[in-house]
Amino acid sequence: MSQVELTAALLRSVALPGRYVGGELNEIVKPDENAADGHRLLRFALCFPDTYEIGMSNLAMRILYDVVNREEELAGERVFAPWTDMVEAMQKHDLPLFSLESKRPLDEFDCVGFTLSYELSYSAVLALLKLGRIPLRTAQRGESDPIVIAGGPVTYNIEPMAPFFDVVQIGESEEILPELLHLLREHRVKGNLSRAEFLLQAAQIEGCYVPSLYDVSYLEDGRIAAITPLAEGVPSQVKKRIVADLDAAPFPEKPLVPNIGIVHDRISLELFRGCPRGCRFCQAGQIYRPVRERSPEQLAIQLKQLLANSGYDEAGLLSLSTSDYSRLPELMDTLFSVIGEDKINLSVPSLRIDQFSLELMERISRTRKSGLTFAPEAGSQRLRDVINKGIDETEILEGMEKAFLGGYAGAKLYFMLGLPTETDEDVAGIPDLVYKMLGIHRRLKDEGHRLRKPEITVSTALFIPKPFTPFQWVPQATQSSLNHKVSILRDRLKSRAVKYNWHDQETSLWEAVLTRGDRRLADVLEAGLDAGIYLNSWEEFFDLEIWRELMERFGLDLDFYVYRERDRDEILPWDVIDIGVKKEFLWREYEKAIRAELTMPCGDFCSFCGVQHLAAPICVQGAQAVRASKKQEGASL
Amino acid sequence: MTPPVDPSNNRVQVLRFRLVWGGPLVWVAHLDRMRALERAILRAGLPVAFSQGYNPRPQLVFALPSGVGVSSRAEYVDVSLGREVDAEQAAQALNSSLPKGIEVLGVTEIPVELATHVMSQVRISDYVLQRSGISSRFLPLLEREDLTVMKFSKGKERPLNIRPLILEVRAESEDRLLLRRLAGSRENLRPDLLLLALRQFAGDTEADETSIERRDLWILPEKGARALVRPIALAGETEEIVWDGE
Ligand code: SF4
Repeated sequence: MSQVELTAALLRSVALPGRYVGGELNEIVKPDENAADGHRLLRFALCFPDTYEIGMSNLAMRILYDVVNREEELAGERVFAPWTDMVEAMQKHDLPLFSLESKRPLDEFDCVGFTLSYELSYSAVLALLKLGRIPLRTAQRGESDPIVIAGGPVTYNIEPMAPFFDVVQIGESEEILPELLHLLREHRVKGNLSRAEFLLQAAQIEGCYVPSLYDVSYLEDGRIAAITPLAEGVPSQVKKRIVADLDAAPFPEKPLVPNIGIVHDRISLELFRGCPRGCRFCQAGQIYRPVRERSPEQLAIQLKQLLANSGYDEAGLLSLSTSDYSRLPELMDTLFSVIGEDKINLSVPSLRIDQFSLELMERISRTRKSGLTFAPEAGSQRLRDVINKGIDETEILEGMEKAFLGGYAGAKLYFMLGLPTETDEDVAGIPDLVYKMLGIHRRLKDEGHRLRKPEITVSTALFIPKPFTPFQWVPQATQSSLNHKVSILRDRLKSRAVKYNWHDQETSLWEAVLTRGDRRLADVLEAGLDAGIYLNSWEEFFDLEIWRELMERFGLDLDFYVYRERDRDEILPWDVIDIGVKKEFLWREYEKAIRAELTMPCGDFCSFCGVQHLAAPICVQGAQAVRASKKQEGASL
Repeated sequence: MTPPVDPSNNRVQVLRFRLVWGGPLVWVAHLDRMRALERAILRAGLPVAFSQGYNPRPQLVFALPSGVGVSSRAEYVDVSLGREVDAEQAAQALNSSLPKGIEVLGVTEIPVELATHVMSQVRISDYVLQRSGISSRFLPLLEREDLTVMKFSKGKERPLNIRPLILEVRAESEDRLLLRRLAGSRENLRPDLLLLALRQFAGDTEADETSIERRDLWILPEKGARALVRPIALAGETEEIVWDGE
């Protein structure tokens, strides 16, 4: 194999050479030897299209690194996006992109896989392929080129990138990835399959989407006419695949310990996947259904092993909403007993503010009070009902009162602007809520309580309609209506006790195009690469004007993707994917949203979203419902 | 008898380690090196003493951290412990927990009162510079009295004449130089400035290819002492440096 040599001069010429040298604790470098079956190992490049510090903070990267390297016949190595100074240095020295472990050039891997968490990283994917000297499009790749694959939350609508990926994983990779790579070894290592044969067989693995085996045709007006499988055996819809039992799933007990500071430099404990709440703006709440928890016992074992194997002094709990973990008090007791007297910081994000959480925070941070956060998401009760954010004003205000009494100065409040049906009154609900909080503070003070000076931070983000949510059909709020709403808030949040942050990010408009985009955008993305666009998720490298021009060049219109209302029967680019949750359920939820009707969270209640068919034994409620309906069928026969 | 406890930080024992610093961690900055060592100490299960306050940190002090891109056979760190341990066993435990490229060369116990003093005792450090043809490029520079380069630190640039800081240079071969220079908190010559001088005064565009290793570090063991010693001398390292300064 060839090996990229990182000379002293090269490393001295970049700002953070530690990003490129690898060699961290618990790194796995497999020797170039044959497996027991006499054939060489399949070489897999696990790529993250952003910097080392961000990619190493991604739990999926760590899980996949472990999942692949557990297999005797597979060798997984990491690749991150080099910063621009390194790109320059590599060009100067004529070096290709390489892996951290063995410094192998990217094009000498059998498979190049990208973990994709956000749409704005698409440009970096293309740039990395180019730096790795791999033909961009699947149609341009030959028998000796690596197979390029992708996985991660944005792959549920990967259409704008469809021509660049040979295979896309839909769902959780713990199961799909090893199966796919073992099949690939037949093609790349043993030579039993041609590239085309491999792709055809891959398309038949559950959870594997092979975009080149589908034809997408369009109507005159740009909407999709049909999505058609091109070969026999290729399913008309690709079903997502999930891990049924998280306790039994492999997890990296020997975590990589980075040599330089990264964004989340701590142990992560994943409590559960999915979320029972069903907030209507939230894509994660739909695509990760159903809820699957790890047991407190398993999490305690993980914490113990991870601490001993890493030397980390901080651990964070990870899930979509910690308070919804069914055995939270028990879990916390178990984790505290693992920590004992050791100086370990435990961070517990996304808690609802209630008595239990406040006591918990007290216990976690005996010395310092970290900030509280609230995410009401919408200002008025009506709008909170529209988005199915199951929290009412009394709850919020009671929580705040407890927080003031517990010694907190205030909280950070998160809202979205531009939600469907939002009026100026809804927006005005935000300052109303804030002033009610300040009113409580005043009352408590008058009652003689000793409180800290009140301090409330309001942050608003722009709502972007996402695929596979009840709002997938709605137009995004226009720039001018958003500016108007921001000005309402700026005017009315002028108290000294209140700080208002808002982001007028042009990046969100491009994200909006990509998230509900179709295959025609691939040409635009490729032209973006030629225009030198690279780390697009970094605001300093983002320029909406270039994208507007490029779209125009290809006869595409930003408004079509962002501001257009889709109707119920329109074929959506992501209809080729089946996440279990049915389109009819999402539409039902959309209609309920318009009527501001709530849907109960899963758990005590099941609204038959469709996932019960995908995962009957896991989704307890759904399974019961399926059984009940089967019984009925039986009875009626 | 119970050992004396320093109540402000509950340290009861201080161990000094001499480390080899090589491998990938050569390419990270001081803060990251510190963190890597902290984690190794925690993995090794050494009863390290923590600082007080909001953000308790393990208490360790580097004698003179070598900079990014400099390897070392004389990296010294003083670790405060909250419970007494056997020094040799501690060194073994630490050794088996260290990340790639780092290794314990020696250990000794130092008085608890001196737990944080070592930085102020450093006077001189020795380096090996290696690259083909380095000697004939570097030696002529010593004829000059002025080797002023721009030193960039804490976001500011200021001129520094490094010539007076270079005490002695010996060419072991055409490709290998031994260089002795003043070091420590008062007068310090960062090795990257040597590369800068090479580029600036010898027109050496490839200067950055030079590998730099710290060979030795010399401290003034107590006020008024007349010789500098190594913080930990290994077998066969018997020499001292005559010293008539402060
Ligand atoms: S099937 Fe029922 S319980 Fe399961 S995720 Fe869907 S709505 Fe929730």
